[in-house]
Amino acid sequence: MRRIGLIFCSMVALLGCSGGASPGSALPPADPKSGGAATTLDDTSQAYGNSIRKLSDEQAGQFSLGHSVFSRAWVTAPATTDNLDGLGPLFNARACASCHSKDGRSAPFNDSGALLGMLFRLSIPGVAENGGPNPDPVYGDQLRPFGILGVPGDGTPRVSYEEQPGSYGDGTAYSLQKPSYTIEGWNYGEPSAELMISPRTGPSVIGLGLLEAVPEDEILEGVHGEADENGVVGAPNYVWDAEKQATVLGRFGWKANQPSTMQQTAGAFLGDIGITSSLFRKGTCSATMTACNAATSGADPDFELSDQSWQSVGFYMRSLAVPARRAVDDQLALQGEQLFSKFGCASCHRTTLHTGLADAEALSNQTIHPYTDLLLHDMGPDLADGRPDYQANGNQWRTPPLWGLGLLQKVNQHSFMLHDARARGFAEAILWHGGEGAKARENFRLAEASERDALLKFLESL
Amino acid sequence: MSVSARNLLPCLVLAGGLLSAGCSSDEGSTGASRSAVVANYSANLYRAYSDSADDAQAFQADITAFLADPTDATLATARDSWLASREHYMLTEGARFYDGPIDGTKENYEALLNSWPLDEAFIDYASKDGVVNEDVGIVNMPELLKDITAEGLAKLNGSDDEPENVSVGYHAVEFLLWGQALKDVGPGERPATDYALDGPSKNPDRRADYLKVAVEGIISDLSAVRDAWKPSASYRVEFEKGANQTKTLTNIFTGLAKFSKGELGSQRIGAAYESKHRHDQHDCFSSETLVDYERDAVGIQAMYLGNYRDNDGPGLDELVKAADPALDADLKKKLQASIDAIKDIPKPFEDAIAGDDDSPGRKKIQAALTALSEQGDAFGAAAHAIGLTIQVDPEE
Repeated sequence: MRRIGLIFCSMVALLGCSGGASPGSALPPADPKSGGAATTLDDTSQAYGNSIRKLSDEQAGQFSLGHSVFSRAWVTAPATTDNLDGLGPLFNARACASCHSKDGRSAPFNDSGALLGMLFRLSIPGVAENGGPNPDPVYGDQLRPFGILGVPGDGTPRVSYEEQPGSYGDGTAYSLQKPSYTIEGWNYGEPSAELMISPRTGPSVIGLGLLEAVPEDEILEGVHGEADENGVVGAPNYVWDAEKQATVLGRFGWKANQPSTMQQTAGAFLGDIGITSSLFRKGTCSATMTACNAATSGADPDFELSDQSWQSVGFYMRSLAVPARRAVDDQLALQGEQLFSKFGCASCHRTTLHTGLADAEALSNQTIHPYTDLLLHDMGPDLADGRPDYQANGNQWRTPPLWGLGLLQKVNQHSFMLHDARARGFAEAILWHGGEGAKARENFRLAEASERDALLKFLESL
Repeated sequence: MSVSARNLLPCLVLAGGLLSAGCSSDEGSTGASRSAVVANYSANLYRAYSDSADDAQAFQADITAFLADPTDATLATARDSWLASREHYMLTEGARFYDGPIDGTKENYEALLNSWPLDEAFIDYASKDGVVNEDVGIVNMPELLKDITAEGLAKLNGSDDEPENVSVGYHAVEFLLWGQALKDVGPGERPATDYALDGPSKNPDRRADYLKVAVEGIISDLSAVRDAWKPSASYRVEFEKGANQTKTLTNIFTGLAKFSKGELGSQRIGAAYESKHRHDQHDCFSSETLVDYERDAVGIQAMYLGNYRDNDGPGLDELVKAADPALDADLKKKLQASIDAIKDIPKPFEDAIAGDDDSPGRKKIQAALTALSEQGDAFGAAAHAIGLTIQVDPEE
């Protein structure tokens, strides 16, 4: 295929068809390989679902099984599909792919307002033994709105939005939708009066193997002792690693509360689907949930997710390639890229990181463009969930990666962004930034329309 | 001009668009026109979906006869009919993965028709480790759904607004006819008396209603997909429009490549090969998995060649042959090789996946996996040869 690619390139050159050939001042093309060697050219609605290249036969097999387990719906026990039974009894979703549709992010709610790709973390004041959030005594640390037949779910989350008008520096009006969340019909009694609820949408799962392979030192380089000229601090989260039985740097999740893809995976199986694993063997029914406790387990014999499935899903998530940046010589997008730095966005959305050694060749020693520093930042009161999560306080969120986000509309047919999917596209997402992101937001809000357009064009090209 | 690896990607990305914009001639000097190939593809697909819907109607007649008089003989006829009714549908599966009518609409008919594995205990009684639980499933829980109707099932299925709909479609019907496959090898052994009003099982009338409704659902879903491929239907009109030709051909090749390598290879065969779990196969209740896989592979080959039943129209092969005869010959060889490799796997599939990697069955399965993977890559190369960029295991 390399040969064919070269033929195309020479043909393009010969025919003089290559775009962006304006003279002199033209900005040089950007690096399309956002994920280094772990980049895919796919820009279709399946763009997030491609494996990295150069997998060994064994790794290709793991990817196959991982994809299968990731995509398939778990079923009620007992079933002859006993490697896939044990759903719930309480759950948020039946499959990984429910919230991470096409390896991307599902819309938060469906057209009729019912929950789709969101979950709600719960806790009460205090700290659990491992330093993490203190779970509600009955409902635990996550709302499970659904149950298998005969087991009532915890309760039904509802959202309503209120439009908040605002305007750009040039007077152009915009509107942001401010969400309010309620939980209807708590089925196991009233929760603690001090219950804290943190709504979170499932992010896309591309490029996780690359992010996991960024050395800790390089992440910590992004930590400022005190605020820089843009007001940016950046703090690491330190979280409990259940495999290592130690407190380590957090990397994944909206609050960087997960140390590894493997723990993230096992945690999501338990909390979201109700599937126990060798890492998290205990189910999530609390003592007072009679039908939940009486339901048949899919345990085989001690837990439901086989180690082989767990390892495979973990590998699958690490080996999903990052879509290539598009429009790499589009002058407007390139101007937008410069503004991204000038406005201060890149202070947190670090444009370039490097990976060390990883378990697959294409992930190792790569220069990547994830647009994240993997650190926590105070994002101001408007985005705050008011719920601490290890070292993260109620105002802090981890900078999410931006790679591949320009394809969200194509893959998942929506452009909802931010931790609870309140923003309808890039512009609103920027306009919600507060706290450490306030200065960059104001630079964007007060910029000329042409500059705002350039910035958005850049983001759309990722 | 030297081209560094760094600049290669944008070139590839650009190539498809540029060619369609007139940087290359539309087609070779010999062989069929692109528009004729596209028209033949959609005509064949329309026929295949029409046949599939007709097959489902014929199957429904056997189900009606079975339910009117549930005996071992009528059950055997219904089971045979189920298997027969899937042949033409399997031949269409190479038309997935490009957001077409089968899997690109909000309804996601593919998921409604052919989802597996199935939430057995959501539907009917189930057993595990020799213990039968007769009180589970919609069939046995009238308190959840008083009358089993399509609307009722849809509502119950959708009650939690999950995107998966695992209690309808071909495999739900397969489960209702065969029952759980509880042995290591071989089909399920559901007795015909499960449907006899005076039989030993609970709720035979509700089970019969469920079966009836599920079969009606298959007919209605297949009809909807068929209608989207009608000559006058808007999807087909757009699909065949000259202005969309590059996109359409890219879609066709993408579907064939991804179905070969990603779905039939990696998902349907590879995942079961990895897990060695009989229930990771496509037809675990009936134990007829290899019949499906062979039909799938034959369907891919026929789509490439432009064939369907008695029609041998202009195929994709003619476009590829005009651009690069060696590549076309290679792809044809690979298409036949993967069919042969699948035929070569000893039946039943659940037996073949067992054992260590040196067992004869697993070696044959590995050979089929390799053949399908190479076939997928060859579709990528063939698409490139006619000026398209598709995204299967992209190389630099």
